Amino acid sequence: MDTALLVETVIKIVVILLVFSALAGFGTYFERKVLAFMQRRLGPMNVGPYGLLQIAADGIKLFTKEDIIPAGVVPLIFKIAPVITAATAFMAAAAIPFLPSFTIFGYEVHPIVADINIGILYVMGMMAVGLYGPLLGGLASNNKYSLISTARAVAVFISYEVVSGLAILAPLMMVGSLSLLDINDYQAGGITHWIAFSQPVAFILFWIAAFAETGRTPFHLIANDHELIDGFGTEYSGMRWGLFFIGEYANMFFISFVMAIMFLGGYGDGSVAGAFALLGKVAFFFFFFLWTRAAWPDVRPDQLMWLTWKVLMPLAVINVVITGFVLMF
Amino acid sequence: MNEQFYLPLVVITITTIAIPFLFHLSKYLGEKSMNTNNQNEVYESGIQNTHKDSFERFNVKYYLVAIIFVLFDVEILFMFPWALNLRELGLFGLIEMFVFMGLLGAGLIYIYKKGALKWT
Amino acid sequence: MPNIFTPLLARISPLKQTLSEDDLSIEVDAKNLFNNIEFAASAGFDYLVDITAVDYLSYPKTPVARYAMVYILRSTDFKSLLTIKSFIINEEVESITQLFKAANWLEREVYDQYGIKFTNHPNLKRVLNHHEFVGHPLRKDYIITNGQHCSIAESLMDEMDVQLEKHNLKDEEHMFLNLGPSHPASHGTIRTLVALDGERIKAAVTEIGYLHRGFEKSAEHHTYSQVIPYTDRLNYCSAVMNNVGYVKTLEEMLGVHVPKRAEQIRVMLMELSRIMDHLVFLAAQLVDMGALTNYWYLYNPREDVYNFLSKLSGARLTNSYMRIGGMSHDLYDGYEEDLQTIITNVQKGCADALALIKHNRIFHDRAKDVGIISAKDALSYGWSGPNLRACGVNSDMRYLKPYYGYDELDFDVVLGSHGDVYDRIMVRFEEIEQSIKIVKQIQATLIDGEINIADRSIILPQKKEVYTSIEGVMNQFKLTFEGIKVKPQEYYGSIEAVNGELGFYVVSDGSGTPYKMKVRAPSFLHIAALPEIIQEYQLADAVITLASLNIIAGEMDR
Repeated sequence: MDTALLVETVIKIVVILLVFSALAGFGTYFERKVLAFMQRRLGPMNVGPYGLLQIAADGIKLFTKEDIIPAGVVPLIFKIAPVITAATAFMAAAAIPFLPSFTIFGYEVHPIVADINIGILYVMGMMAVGLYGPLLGGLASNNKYSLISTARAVAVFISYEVVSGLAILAPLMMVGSLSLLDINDYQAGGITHWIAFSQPVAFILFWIAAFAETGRTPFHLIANDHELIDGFGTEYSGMRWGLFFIGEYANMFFISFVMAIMFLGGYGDGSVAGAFALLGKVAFFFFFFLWTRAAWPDVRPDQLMWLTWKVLMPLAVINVVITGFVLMF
Repeated sequence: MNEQFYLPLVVITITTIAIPFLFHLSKYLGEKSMNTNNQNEVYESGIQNTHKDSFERFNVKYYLVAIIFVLFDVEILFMFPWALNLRELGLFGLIEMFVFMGLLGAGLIYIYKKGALKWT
Repeated sequence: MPNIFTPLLARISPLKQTLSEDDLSIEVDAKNLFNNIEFAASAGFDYLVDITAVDYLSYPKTPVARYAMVYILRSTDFKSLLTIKSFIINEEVESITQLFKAANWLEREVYDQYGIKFTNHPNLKRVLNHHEFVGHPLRKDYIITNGQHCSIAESLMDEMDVQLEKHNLKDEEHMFLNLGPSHPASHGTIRTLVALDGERIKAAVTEIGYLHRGFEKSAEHHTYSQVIPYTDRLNYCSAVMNNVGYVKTLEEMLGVHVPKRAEQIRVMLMELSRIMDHLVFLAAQLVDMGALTNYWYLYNPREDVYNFLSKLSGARLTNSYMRIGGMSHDLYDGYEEDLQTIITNVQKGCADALALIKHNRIFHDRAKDVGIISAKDALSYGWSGPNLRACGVNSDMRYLKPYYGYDELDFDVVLGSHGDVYDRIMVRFEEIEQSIKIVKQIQATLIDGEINIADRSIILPQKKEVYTSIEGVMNQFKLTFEGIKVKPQEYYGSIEAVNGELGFYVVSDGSGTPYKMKVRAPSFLHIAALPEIIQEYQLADAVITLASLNIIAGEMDR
């Protein structure tokens, strides 16, 4: 029993790691292509057909780059920081049901590593721990740009932590469970049961917070190349930088999954169509990240903070209050 | 404790930390680092003659935000169990929580008035 | 004589004076120099165009002293020019920084290049050359081949300490951060050292000169025609514009007028250059805000202009298309179609980019009320061009002192109101539209005829003639080797270039090479104001403010 569970878990974890590492790669390819088409150019075209092998080329480049640890950094923390970003991103994936359960060779597979009953809390918590990557990396880098980037990262992450926490509170009041499976099943009745329609404010607040927590335009402040070079990643190179990168893209995918499951009905009733619908929703959210990047400028750090504390947070609190009243009466 | 829940978490923690650490070995794949002084110079727009390094103190204007965050995030943690058990707690629970949130809101207004939300 | 000069001449009794149309140049005694400039500034000449010096060491007629200071002032309505010249004996002059803010950097440049000291100057140190540099390169006894290797950058803390002292911030703790020279936001090689309190900039110091290549020294060692390719490298985003600015000055010195068709082609190419330069500006500016897509929307049509120019002149970036007395050749057959493509694509690109940002709240919040400079300060800093017009001052030479038939063309001068980043962006968007209007009018009215003047002492003979007749060969030989002879004079000529007033102060000695040449580069005067503008704004604002000044390192550092 134990051994079987262990084997199954290890297989699942390996599959998730492989799939999402690859997806992070493909994510960059899609990002380049989508941005390119929106910007009337072609994007990568030279490596492989339609530039598809660009990902492999990038990977080879990152893996074989010279290992540089700049003078004056704190080497141990400098090395640990990227691991934290990548590890926490994938650890967060443990409680996300990526697909409905299916049977293969007579063996029922649950595409979720651990169906813990506090799923959403665990995911949010893990993503929050991911803050330590930029924080420690930036502080250890002995670079002033990294330092400013770290200061921004802390302020942005923790501010939006509050917003996303308050935003999901209202849907959770309706569902009465923290497990993502339960949340999904709550909306199994079809499109009219989606939480996005009963909790539009919470949905949009969480969506905005997702942009801040993944550091995407218009909240692309932490590694804003026009001001801070690459922010906390300025002194990093090779695979250490690659780990930050994988972590960021994996986070984008996972947060897209969370949004799709929490607000847009997830995989619905668990049919094959539902599974594809889930992937479609995730793809939409991911695409939306890219779309925004093509369309909008970035905000300024103080404007971002203004938005959180003076607009989004009061809105989230009011949303919780109204939900409470509606549920009671 | 339910091992079905927590065994996988332990496994995924170990794997996801171990594999990125293995990535550090990639330094043996490429060229060996020349480790010269110029190469290891910390980047500051190409200026070597800089006044101070980054380990000096830096006035993080929004450190107050961190403190406010601790305040509010802990409150939100209190709200999660309440949100799950809203129906059992009934009207009394609801009113109790709203009083609590009212206190929080008053706190936010106080912070606002005090000017702690000005971080420019 | 314009009335504006009457009170001036009544008070100042110049040693010499020459008056031509709207312009007056006077020579005064060094003792009264400061007082005379102060009086001129109060008598309506309150815009400092340029300060430079002339070293008469190897001048054919040796004047009273080796060095002369030259101050060029403009009247409030931008129509009259006053040149004040003064021979100085002991290489020391009183600084006029208290009269004009622009004088600060201009005097530093004179000190740097000629070693003339300015008393009461707040910060007299080198500006273009490296601080390790020995000697003063524009002195006639500095040999041009005498290169020096300088490597260590300054920490700039001496200037920063002065700034902190000035703002009473000496006791506070700051983080000192170098923005540039090698930084994505510096658009070239500009270094700004900022003192940060959190993300707020408390004080800033700017250092330039990273692209200084000694244009003025090189010009003294080349014939007048050979200087043309150098001018391409001044503002490399709009090379033809600099060509025109230079050859127009020379033609005015020679007293010749190019044929009407040449004028029209020049105006057309200048306006195309203006479009091109503004497109680069807008693209880079918006990218600095994080709005990536605009970059391609605006950059792609610029490609069409480049294609047009390369078909026309054979070179994409550094065209060297103009010649003194005309241009290298006429427009090619079928250029109208290409012009039409350019106009269509530029308008589409601008419309698309505007559609993305016009009603975008983020863009408005970022750009409005950021990097504000008052019209008074801008004038004092010697600003010109779109940056000054964004403050609401009409300084457009095309309108105020029309040349090349600009007075016959229908176009609007675009003015802003606040002098912030938003105005500087929008003024340029509208100027592109106005330039298109001008190009269309030129295309409709373009007359046939010669493009070069018929003067064999200026224009090279036809190739056919060179190959078949001895006169042709000799003509070509003399013009190429000795250069165009310009009779001894000192002249300042300027045009309304993309970034503002691009002027050339040329001293000729009768030979085929300029005795001295000074470029009045608008970017040099714009960047001098940067430290003051970005103060009390945030780091992110400083980046877009720098971008909004459209500093072109090529003309700034020369």
